[in-house]
Amino acid sequence: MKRPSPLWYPAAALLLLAPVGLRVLTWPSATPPEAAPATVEAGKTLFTHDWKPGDPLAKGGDGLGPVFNATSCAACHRQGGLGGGGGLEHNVTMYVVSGATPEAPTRQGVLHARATRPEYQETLSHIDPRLPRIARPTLASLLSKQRGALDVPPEILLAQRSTPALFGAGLIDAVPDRLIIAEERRQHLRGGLLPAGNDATTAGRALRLAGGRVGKFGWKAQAASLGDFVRAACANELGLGNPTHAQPASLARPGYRPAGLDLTDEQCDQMTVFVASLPQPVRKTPDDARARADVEVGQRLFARVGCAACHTPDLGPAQGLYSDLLMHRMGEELTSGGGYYGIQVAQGGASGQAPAPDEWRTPPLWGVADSAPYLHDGRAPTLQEAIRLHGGQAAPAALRFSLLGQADQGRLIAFLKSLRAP
Amino acid sequence: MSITLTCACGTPVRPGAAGRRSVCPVCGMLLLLTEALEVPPSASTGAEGGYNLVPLHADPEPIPAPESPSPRSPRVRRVLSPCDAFFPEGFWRPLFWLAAVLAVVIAVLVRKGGEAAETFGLWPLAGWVAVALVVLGYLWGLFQCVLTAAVGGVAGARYWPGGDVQRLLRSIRDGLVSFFAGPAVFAGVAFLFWLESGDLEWADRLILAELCLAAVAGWLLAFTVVTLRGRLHDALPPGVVGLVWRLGRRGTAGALFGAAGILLHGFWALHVLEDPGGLLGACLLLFPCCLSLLFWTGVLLYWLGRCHVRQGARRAAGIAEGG
Repeated sequence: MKRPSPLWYPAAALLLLAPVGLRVLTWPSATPPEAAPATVEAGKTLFTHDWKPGDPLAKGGDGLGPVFNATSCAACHRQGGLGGGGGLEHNVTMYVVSGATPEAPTRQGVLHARATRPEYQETLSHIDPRLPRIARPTLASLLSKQRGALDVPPEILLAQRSTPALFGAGLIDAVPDRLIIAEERRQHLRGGLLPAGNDATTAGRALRLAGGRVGKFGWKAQAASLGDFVRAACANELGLGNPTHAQPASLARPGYRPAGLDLTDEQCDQMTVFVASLPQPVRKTPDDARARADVEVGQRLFARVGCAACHTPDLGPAQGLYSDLLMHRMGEELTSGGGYYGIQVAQGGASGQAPAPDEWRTPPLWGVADSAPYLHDGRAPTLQEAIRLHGGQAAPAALRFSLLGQADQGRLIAFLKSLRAP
Repeated sequence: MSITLTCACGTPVRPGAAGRRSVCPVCGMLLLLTEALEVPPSASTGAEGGYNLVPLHADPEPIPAPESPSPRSPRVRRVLSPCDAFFPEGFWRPLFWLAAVLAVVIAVLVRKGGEAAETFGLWPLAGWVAVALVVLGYLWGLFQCVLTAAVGGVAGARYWPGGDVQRLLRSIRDGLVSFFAGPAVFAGVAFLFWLESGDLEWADRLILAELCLAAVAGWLLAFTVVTLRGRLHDALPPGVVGLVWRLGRRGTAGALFGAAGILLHGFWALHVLEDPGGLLGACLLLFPCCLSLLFWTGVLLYWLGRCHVRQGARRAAGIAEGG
């Protein structure tokens, strides 16, 4: 039997590697799509529009409400420019009511701060008659419940969510799911293959939503795409029903049904395109040489302390994002379950698909200097306080930060303050 | 004169006339009957009437001559003499020890490696990698004993490295060269593909299986050919293809099947390491996995060695008949 020609060796290697090459070519592009200026302009009009009941822009529906938190997107998203975050006054209150038994279904949703008519106005007493008739509980009253400010029964969880900044959302939307999963796998390997959510490691996990998509938007990563996030916000914050998200019924008048949808698919897409076109946050280094050096040292400390394990600087097309978009357990102090924006996220542990009450998507730190207050409900007025409140998987990094000298802590904070809104 | 001889495996063999080849009916070793004075005494296996029965390597390209044993070799050979390297007790002691040490090294590297590298930099990790290489050196040395014993018996002896640093380094070199001469490409591509491909679909799983099989089977074959021929450049694709040609369909299918078995052990180890228990628990759970992996890899290599001999014997017989 004759031996094969030497030409067969590279041919065989190519044959073995061809399937993987072909498969890689089918991977989706990580480049954000180009947007037509007219579409962006139309989306901006809708984003800044002050909605009213029976609004002419809501062609088929009842316009604003019946329950809502604000009359326009721009009313809350304005810190550091149009599309930015919002202060405590724009916090959204959400609730989770556990069933009597573990098998019984939970009720969850958003307690809307305002209504188009007094009879639609929701208050805490509509969630449970034992609660007071308050429409807008303050964050302080919720956090100080152990001192009796708000006597909340144990089966009821009240929490707030702050308004996230939308800068660079188009780039986050362009991050393919596979890159988030790749980061999940890297952390899994780095964490000694221990299961995600184990406090012994910083390994996070990608939240798989219905349909197999990975959650990228929202404090609980409850939305897989920017379009879904925008539609859910329109429905839940403004009461604008759209083809994918119905407007929420008032807890005070659950029987109310709108005549039709307030937003068409085209309008939702226009708003999504506008939000996607918002510029990426920037890093502004100080002019002073010494301050600039401090920022550079702070950036190195950021990595050395361990912050960068979860706040990874780059993720695909989102360069300078400082987030891995993964879910991490943040400790008992930052426990708050439930979904958000009407997207029902079942309660569960880290082993299941649903996020645990103390599990949060790593918020991007780009533009963090212009998005105070911090954490999911804005309970941390400063960056130092936000770091101090990190627990669970982030506790070792928070401890290492606390062990730094005052000067080094200041440098690390100086680095974070160089991450500005565009 | 009727001659009764005993093969290295203990089987009585009736050879033909002096200078003729015979094959042991049990172990398949190719034997050459020679005059007693022509053979070194250490290589004789059981001679009567002035004849010695010498295991003969069936490969037309001769395997390297037995290296001169180090001062510690006699003691080591009692523990692991090449001929009884695989089946009798000589194989088991180092196997158990190596499985235990391998389990500890894997558990520590996987569990603490990433964390240590993040906290203390790469130097402590480099230390552990060096330890892992030493363990792998002994492991590969053991496999080389198995292979050479399967193929050449005493004449093809390759001794357990023991305290001989040079031998150990040679085993490490052979194992690493066998990996980096080709299988590393498939292993690297498979790892990157797994990392970047997101949630795996069935097509992705098939591609990964193909790449992993190519990597593991490629390493097994390259390691076998480097050990048997003693030439590092045989780890390159032409040498591996030459071995595949020699082993035939059965041998190649066996290598692929064995590679699949090794991969299954990899899944077993991953499953064990994903258990949230402590380091000690991980070591204990990994031990049976490592033991099984080493044992079955030994079996596979022994079988590959035997295939190599038998195919060589068949070819030699064919040539003799044809000639």
